[in-house]
Amino acid sequence: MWSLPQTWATGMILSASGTSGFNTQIRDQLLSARNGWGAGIKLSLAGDQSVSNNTVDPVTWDLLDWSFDPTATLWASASGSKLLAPDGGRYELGGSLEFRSNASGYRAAGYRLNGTSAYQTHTMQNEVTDHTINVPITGIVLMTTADYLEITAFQNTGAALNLHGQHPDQTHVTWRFLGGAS
Amino acid sequence: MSWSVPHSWQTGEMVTNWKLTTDITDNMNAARQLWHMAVRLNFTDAEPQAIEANEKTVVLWSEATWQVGDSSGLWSDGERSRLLAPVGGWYQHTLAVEFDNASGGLREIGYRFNGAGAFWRLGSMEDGNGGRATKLSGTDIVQCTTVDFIEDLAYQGSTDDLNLKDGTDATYCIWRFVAEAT
Repeated sequence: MWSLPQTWATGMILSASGTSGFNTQIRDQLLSARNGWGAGIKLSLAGDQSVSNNTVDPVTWDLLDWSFDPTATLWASASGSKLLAPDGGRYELGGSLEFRSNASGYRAAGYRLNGTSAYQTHTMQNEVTDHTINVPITGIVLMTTADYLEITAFQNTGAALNLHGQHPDQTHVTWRFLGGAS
Repeated sequence: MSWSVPHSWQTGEMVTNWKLTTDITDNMNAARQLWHMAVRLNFTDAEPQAIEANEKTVVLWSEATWQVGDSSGLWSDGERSRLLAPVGGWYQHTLAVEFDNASGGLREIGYRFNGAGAFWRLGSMEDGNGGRATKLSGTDIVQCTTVDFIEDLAYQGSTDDLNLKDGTDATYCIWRFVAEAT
């Protein structure tokens, strides 16, 4: 893991171990730089998930596709809708909501912060026939420590409509820490 | 300038120029090169690409619009469809596909791994009766092992072949290294 680099002073005794040691300051930092700064995860749905008619519903993720999140703090299955911000800073989200076929109404994807502030990222009108529709999600958001973000789905077909959950034609989201606030 | 596993230092060990150069200078440069590795691809009007009706067709890229760092391992014009993974880990994949005007039918974009298998859908929408130049985009972060590759595919359900629009800003993809598998 990355740590704040040592500021060296003339006359300082160099050691191998310890927080000022070469192993912490050079070896471990190099590995961290090589492996990538930002922790990230990809989440999807193990099965279809219903979206209410004419309601902004948060998507509850229940499948961790992969993770490079060493401290496992970006998401927890017990609160599956929440994309977590263990550190303050900017986070990147991407993915898509795949709605099952229906010939009516429109579909929307968005997100909301800490359960309240809602933002719509993309809307799409279904046209003539009842095809599956993917609504993309993308954005970079500024989070403070312990904030959480939820991806939201909307549709107004007149009845509940499922998000498609199975691989590979899937509803998914990626959530990645880009860097601290400054 | 290549990466080598950073040295684990021992207290009392003599620090030499050679060790410092290999362990710090070369590795820092190599880590930085890897970290910024990215390429954006498009195709030119000299190479129009027709997508057959009702067939998922591989998109062939003809040039790099830009690249960051040493991205020679990410794509080569010898295998123009392939987005390569020179290092095992996670890669961010953004795809935008613009179809020529045509009325009717579904449009889909996605990708597949290693030349076969499942179609991972990134976007889909229907063109109604407007005959518009529909454009789809989507993004994902994919996990690859070393020498894996992915290929982008486009699908259209109109009644005849349909060209993709060419040029730097019409149909393109961005393939970017995110983090190394650990």
